[in-house]
Amino acid sequence: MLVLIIGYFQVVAQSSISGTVTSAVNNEPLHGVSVAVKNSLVGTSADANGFYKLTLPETAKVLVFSFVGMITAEVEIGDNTTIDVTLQPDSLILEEVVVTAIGITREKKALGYSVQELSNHDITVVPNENLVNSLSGKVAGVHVTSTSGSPGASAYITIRGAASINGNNQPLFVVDGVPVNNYERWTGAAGVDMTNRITDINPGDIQSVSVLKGGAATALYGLRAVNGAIIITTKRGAKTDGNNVNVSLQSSLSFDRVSQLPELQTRYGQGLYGNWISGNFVSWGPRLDTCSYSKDPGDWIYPEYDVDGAIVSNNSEYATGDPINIYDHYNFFQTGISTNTTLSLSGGSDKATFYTSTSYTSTTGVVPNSNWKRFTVKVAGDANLSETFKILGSINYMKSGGDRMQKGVSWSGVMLGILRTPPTFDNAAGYEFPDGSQRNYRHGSGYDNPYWSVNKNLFKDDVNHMIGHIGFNWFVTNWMQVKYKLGGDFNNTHFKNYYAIGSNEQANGSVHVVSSNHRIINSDLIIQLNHRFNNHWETSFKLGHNMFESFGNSVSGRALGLELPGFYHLSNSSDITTSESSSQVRHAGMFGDLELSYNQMVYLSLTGRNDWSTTLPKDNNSFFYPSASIGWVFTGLNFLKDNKILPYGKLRFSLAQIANDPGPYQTFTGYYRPWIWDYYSWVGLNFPLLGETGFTLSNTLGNPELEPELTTSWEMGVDLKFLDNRLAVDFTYFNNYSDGLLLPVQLSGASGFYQVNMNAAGMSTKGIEAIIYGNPIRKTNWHWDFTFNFTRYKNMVEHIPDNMESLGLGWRDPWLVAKEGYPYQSFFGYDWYRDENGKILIDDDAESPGYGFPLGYDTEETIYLGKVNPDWTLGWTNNLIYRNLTLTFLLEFKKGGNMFNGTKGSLYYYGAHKDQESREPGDEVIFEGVKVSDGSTNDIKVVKGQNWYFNGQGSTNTGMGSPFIENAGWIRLREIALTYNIRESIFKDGWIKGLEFYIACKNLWLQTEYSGIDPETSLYGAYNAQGIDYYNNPGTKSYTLGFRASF
Amino acid sequence: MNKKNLIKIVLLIFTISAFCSCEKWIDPDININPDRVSEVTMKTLLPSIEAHLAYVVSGGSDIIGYQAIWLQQLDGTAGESMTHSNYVLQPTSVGWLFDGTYSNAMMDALALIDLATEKNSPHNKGVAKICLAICLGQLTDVFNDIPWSEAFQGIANPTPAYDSQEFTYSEIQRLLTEAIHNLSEPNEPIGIDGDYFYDGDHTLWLKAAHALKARYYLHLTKRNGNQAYQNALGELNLAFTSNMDDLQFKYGPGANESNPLHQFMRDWDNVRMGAYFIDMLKEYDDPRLGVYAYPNYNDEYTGSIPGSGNSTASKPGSAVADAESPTYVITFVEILFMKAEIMYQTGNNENQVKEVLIQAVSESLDQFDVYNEDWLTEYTSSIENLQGNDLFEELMTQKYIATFYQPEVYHSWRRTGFPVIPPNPVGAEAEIPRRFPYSSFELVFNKENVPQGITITDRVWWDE
Repeated sequence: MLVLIIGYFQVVAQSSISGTVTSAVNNEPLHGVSVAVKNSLVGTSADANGFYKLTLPETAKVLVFSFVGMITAEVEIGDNTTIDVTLQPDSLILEEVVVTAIGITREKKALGYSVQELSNHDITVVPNENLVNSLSGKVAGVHVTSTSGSPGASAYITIRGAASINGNNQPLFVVDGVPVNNYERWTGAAGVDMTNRITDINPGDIQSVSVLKGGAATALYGLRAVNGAIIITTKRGAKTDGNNVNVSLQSSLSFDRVSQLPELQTRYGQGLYGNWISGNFVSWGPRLDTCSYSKDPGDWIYPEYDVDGAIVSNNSEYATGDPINIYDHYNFFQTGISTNTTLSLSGGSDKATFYTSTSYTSTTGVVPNSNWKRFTVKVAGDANLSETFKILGSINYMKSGGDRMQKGVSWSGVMLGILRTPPTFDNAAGYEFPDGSQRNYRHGSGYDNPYWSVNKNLFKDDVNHMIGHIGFNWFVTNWMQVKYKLGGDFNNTHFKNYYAIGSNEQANGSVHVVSSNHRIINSDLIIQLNHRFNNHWETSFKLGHNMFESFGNSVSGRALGLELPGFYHLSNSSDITTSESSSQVRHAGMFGDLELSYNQMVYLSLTGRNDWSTTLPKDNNSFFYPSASIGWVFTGLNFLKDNKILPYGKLRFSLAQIANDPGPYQTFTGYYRPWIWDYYSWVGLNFPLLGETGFTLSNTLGNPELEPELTTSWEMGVDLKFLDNRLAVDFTYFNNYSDGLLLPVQLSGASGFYQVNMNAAGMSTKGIEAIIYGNPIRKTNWHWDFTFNFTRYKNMVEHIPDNMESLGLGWRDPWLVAKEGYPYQSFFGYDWYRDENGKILIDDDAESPGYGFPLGYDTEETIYLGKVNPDWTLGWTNNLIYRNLTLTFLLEFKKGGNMFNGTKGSLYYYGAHKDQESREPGDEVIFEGVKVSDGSTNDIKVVKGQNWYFNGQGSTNTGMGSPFIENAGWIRLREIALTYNIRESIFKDGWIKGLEFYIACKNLWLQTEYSGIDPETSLYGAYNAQGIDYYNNPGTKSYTLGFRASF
Repeated sequence: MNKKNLIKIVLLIFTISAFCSCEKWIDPDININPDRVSEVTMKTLLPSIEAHLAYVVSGGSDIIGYQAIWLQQLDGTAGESMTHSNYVLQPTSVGWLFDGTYSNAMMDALALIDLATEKNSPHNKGVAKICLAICLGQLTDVFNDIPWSEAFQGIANPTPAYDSQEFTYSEIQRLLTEAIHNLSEPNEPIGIDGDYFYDGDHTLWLKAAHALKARYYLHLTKRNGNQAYQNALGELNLAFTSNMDDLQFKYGPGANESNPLHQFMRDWDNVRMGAYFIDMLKEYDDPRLGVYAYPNYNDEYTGSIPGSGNSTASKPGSAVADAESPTYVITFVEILFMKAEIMYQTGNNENQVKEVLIQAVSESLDQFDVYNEDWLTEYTSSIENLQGNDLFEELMTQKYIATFYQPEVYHSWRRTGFPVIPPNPVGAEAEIPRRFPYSSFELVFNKENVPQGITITDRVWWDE
């Protein structure tokens, strides 16, 4: 077919045209203005004198002159051989073009919905290794939660809240028109912090990021549209003068420190009932300032563990009088160092452009031995094969991986090991004995010494990732254009996770190896027809066809129990289980998009897309999604035109129906290999078992009547620009209602199944977004502009099946749930017994061990304790420029939103938290409440010591989780950067074209009520179960130095 | 070629590709889960059923473990196990036992019955019915009323009603009778494959079925009195005749094929031997002490008093907590104890009863490879003068010792009250609990049908 088309292109009669382009601002020539024949590929750019020359094809009718920041001019060629043009400045930035769905670029002015764009500068001014983190606070409606400060850690992103209860709530990521994989492996409450695949992309290669917030903006994506889309456009290169190549080199060096940690007590030692007990699991031992060491063999039974000596009371027979050493366990953390370098070359002529880059990022974390590295190579280019046919392509190879440390409930979790250690035990004094057994504060059992964990139990991953595309643009006529793009995202991930013999998580050692592949293939064919009826009406119609496939498979081997120590290999065990899995989804779609505009004032857009999906039942796998949007630039009305106060104002309204299809295989029930376990088993019985192969019927019943989850969304807003763009306001109200949400509807186990996936729930999100831009100072030497991005929304669960009280999203006690009538991701838990006035009942039975403490908590009912989503968020970006110095900072505010501080609830059991330094007579408190027997106000003094936290209900181990739900709102200085730009004038004709140096900080300042680690954290990673902190790896703040040079 | 034709070509290509895609691209076969199979064989179903039956239903830490703590043969010394020593048991702690048994072992057993009927294999059908009966028996003995007649219907009945224990018991006997009938069929072309318990020997399954019938008849002594003894006796003679006939599951040494209590000790280490039990064994100078418990760090055999959290006490021993310690479902020793009890209760000569008692104890020692002729002789003379109720108490006490960490020990204790175990003085309940709470999942997802207001000191129907 290609041959056919190329054959068509014969040489046609040509004439030439030339001229000069100047700026109306200062009459200076404009270097680099794009001069192009409308609806063709013929074009060039003006040189340093503003001069251009073009050879015109016979069909050329109109020349288009465009330049960033200037208003585009279109001039009819007629018989002229010279056309000089003066361009007016676009101070209102009305011609801003944004990338919308399916790679279609449109003027922002013409859109009936809200879109926000970020430039390369916006996302790299303070470098982040994960580009999702670079979006935080900069786009209204977008909420980003970083999983932790671990190298390579993922980040969870939602746009306008969640539309699905159980399914994916993260937006579609599209890179140069190709939908890419942003998968992060699920590890549950244990495991390591994983990486979401978008992190493989080098942010330095990104030209711009366009955020489509859902509804009409993403309707053209059909089945993948509901959570919004992040459209990433990578650099392509541009025309250079003469034969030059533009070279750019950027490099930075960062130092990371732990940002915030829970406070630990240092007053009491290991043991129970005030007695020091070597190897005991908690810290309810003696007051250390009344103790000293004894090295008498009668006392000092375990010298290998208690290296300083046995801890005895000062008046004990063999006490040496030496004061007890208090160890700061946080000395475990180190300064993480990361480096980041990108080198790129680009250039081009009128007929072709190219861009190539390579980068290397290497990060070591604050936890010793944790690291993550990324290497990328990218080559992209496009070439005009003729005046009407352009081909384009790009290949981006990325390699990433690291060594990761355990977190959360894992008994090899670094935080769990550090925080539970009593203040008198020095983990750093040694973690391994000559015989290979472990030294920790529990005589080898319980939880791993964190030094053991980071040296012996590693998770190593290695990812090879490639994203690429090839395509063409063909101007068939000057009113019809055909675009085609075939793209793919391929990755192979290989990881090995091992535990040494003697580890508490796997006593006999283990190795788990997984190799998995994933590919996405996407094909988009678009036919675009443009027509201008007269001076007032313009229309454009696009017809599109899409084919999409996502395919993954993996093989894994797990060896339980290693024979030879230190050899972490599947051959080193007699107990090996292997498994395989695969998954495949295909979509096909047809879409149409009709745009109509009147007088550049009223814009109407209608779209419709029909999708077919393999994940839906065969006889019902086709669905249609329409949308409509309208924008009215009301300042185009005659009486408002050219007024100085409000030169630009637009009203917009849009309405759309979009969907989310189910995951694959949900219409199917079948048999699989069983795993036999009782309630307490970590391992249980695996098949093949003792020589037999077994199968068991799935506990999830397939549903042959599945439908996609459907969201009806409407949005209205207003864009206003005041006073020559000194102030701009963009305000949006949106309302999304999602129905037919897929839920595992629980059945009684006695039915033979636990659950069946049904379209059984509904959720809504309603909110506002406000973007306020101000530019108070705009002088030659001084410039100050700021942007506020404000988001406020309510994400409510409208209905779930009647037989379900709620759907659990994660954790138990408290439960993170979706429950009818409550916000999505609400916390529910138990409550103290209270009287009719809501006062806590206090046990006033003098015989009872709980005398003076709350009577107990009611396990029959649960109450609402809070929600994860904040009340509102605000990101305030500031740019201050004075001559060559630029100060940029981003201050983020998060109001409301709760987090479960499970770490603190657990530490209370262990007597390890700072709050528990007052545990003796003399530290009495009175619990607020009323006495059980007579309802009078409680006045019983009690000491909150072991009797409360360990034997009583004061911790999450012995009591409930509700008291540990905390307010996780914060104010933080997310980014601050000071850049010194060495102006071009110094380099004039030199080989350096530009150079800037900068210092930057991330998370420099954090103000929060939350008493644990940085509350921007997630135990379960980038999944719907947010808001849980249980020995999560801590967050970090960093200090960076860097430079950017262009040659 | 002119523009018009070009445009036509483009549109034609567009239309063709549009059609192609929908037909071949959206291939419905893609949505068949490649990681699942829709048809299996009897040989592959039976191992799954048996493994769950052994590891969870007959040996699980979430059924046998709780019972052992209540009977003070073990004691919870850390974590959640300590709360069990203190007579606290949450519905969440029994949810898996309930849901897992219904949706795995029992559902698979029903599938096996269907498959056996289709393939005309009566022996496999019989084995499946026995497995079903055991699951039902274990569940009802701790949960009292449970769903059965309306169960296993999936979405057609997502909230099955609860049946009375009386009805469940009649169903257990029915299943066992049918199983006996199936297993007695002479022509079995296929044979029982994938059988961990008896390696396909249907005669042993027959014996097991009779043994189980005896056990479940005997459970109803408080309800049926003499009739219970008669029914049980009738079955006993067709049951096991030696320790080799025991219905037991033998594990392997590997980490993922080993005994449940072994795995619990390896992963949680939250229980130790109970002081009451250790003291009893020491008093008897019982040869099984060395296999029931491991000596502690002081090389002594000690037990933990309930609520004391004494983790320096001895850990459970090689008979019950090694990787390859078997899970016993029902044993010859239990048969002998049943026989002795029936003989006592139906007025037989007490010397004959003692003979069977001695035989039972002797076989128990043999079962654990600690047979000791001298000790047996001494023991025999020590019980010479026991009579009447004292003899019965001794009989049941010996059964308590012999069936340590087996399914039957808790049921026998509830039924007879022997041995007399002093309740934990700091326990949340004044007496040792008599049943489990209902599964937390049932309380939520089968709200209308789950009996309300249950406490763990309530008695099941046959215990009233």
